[in-house]
Amino acid sequence: MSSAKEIRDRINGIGETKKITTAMYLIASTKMRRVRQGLERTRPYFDALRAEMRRMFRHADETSSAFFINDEEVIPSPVGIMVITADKGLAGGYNVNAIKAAEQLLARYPDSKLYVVGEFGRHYFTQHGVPFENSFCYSADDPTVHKSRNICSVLLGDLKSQVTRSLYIVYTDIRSGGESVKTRRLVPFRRSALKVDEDPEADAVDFEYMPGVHAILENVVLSYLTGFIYSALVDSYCSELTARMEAMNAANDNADEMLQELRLNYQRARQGAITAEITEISSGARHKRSKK
Amino acid sequence: MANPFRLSILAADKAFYTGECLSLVVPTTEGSYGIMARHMNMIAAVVPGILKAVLWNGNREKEERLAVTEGIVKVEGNEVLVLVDSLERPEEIELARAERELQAAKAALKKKSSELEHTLATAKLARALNRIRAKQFVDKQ
Repeated sequence: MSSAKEIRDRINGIGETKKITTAMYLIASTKMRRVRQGLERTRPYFDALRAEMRRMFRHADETSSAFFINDEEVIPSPVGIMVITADKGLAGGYNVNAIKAAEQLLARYPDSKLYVVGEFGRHYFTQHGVPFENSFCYSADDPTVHKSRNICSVLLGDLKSQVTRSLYIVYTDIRSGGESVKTRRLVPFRRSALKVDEDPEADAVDFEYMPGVHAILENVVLSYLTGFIYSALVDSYCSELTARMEAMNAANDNADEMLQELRLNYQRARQGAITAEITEISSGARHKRSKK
Repeated sequence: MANPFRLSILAADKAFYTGECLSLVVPTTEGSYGIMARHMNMIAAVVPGILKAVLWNGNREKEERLAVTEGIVKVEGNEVLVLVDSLERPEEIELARAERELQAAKAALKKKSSELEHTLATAKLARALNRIRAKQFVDKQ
């Protein structure tokens, strides 16, 4: 059995670690509340915009835009893939799951171009020798509308200059209970995908479009994609924080368990040492007495 | 006789206004476009500019001017929805800051950079100009 001092050092060490994990847990939960509030404020705008986009897509008959295709057409390549990871680890399986999903997509479209958000993903792909866009450097921390707009204009710029011709996004969704990695195609939109939840009465109203459906679509496509990217960033960030909270909670529980066991061991070692000392003294005394 | 209609103005980061309105002028690709009650159904593209709305709270009217950026305006059955990327009231605009941004955008345009940077700089220039215009317009009154 290790000495009482060793055990005491160990207890102190675990206590320190536990302080850190508790702090990280608290930080994650506060950050999450703030980001959630930000998302709630922007919800009405993006929901309304999405509804209007849908309506306009229904009216735009021919596919003259690079942004949407008919059902029978194949996805044009090269494909751009944007994957959202965290800036740091310590969040359970969050990063690994997102990266796995991105790698599956990469296997399907070998000539695709990667855009990585978050330091962890950048590190991973560098280590594994997977090429990705180097100038695309955004932190996953604290998503804002402004940041999403910057990201979006970079992606749209590549689409316009034909560097990529379609765009996928890999993010972690939190809404459907628990976290799950989602892979979505942003561009081009498939016509049928927009008609899924169409209600028959919506088409009854006729609109005058000024200057024309396509011009309006071009005008708002940046805002629409920005909205989507922003909510994907917020969802991912919330998932990251939830995963981190869970991981930290588990770490706390583990620390408590270890501390309990160590304290028991410590008491045993301490009592053992005292008993040994008493035995030594008394036997020494007895020895001295018998010598006389 | 007041003839109000429902108006909602939503920006990306806040819901600015939901309520009654008497008249509305929005900057569109076709120029400034006026909307009053019982306008026909339509959707138009909004460009950076100054939006003018005469709001109505039941017995008093109040005029608002806002600097807005890209978006759309929709009229459907006497209800108007304005969706814009961002909007600012003139009193929130700092003239000095807007002018600094204007200079920065002009400098960026002079440098012969990539197409993307050019587009971004153009958009920034338009926003800065729009802010300054909105501010000066209101200050004059």
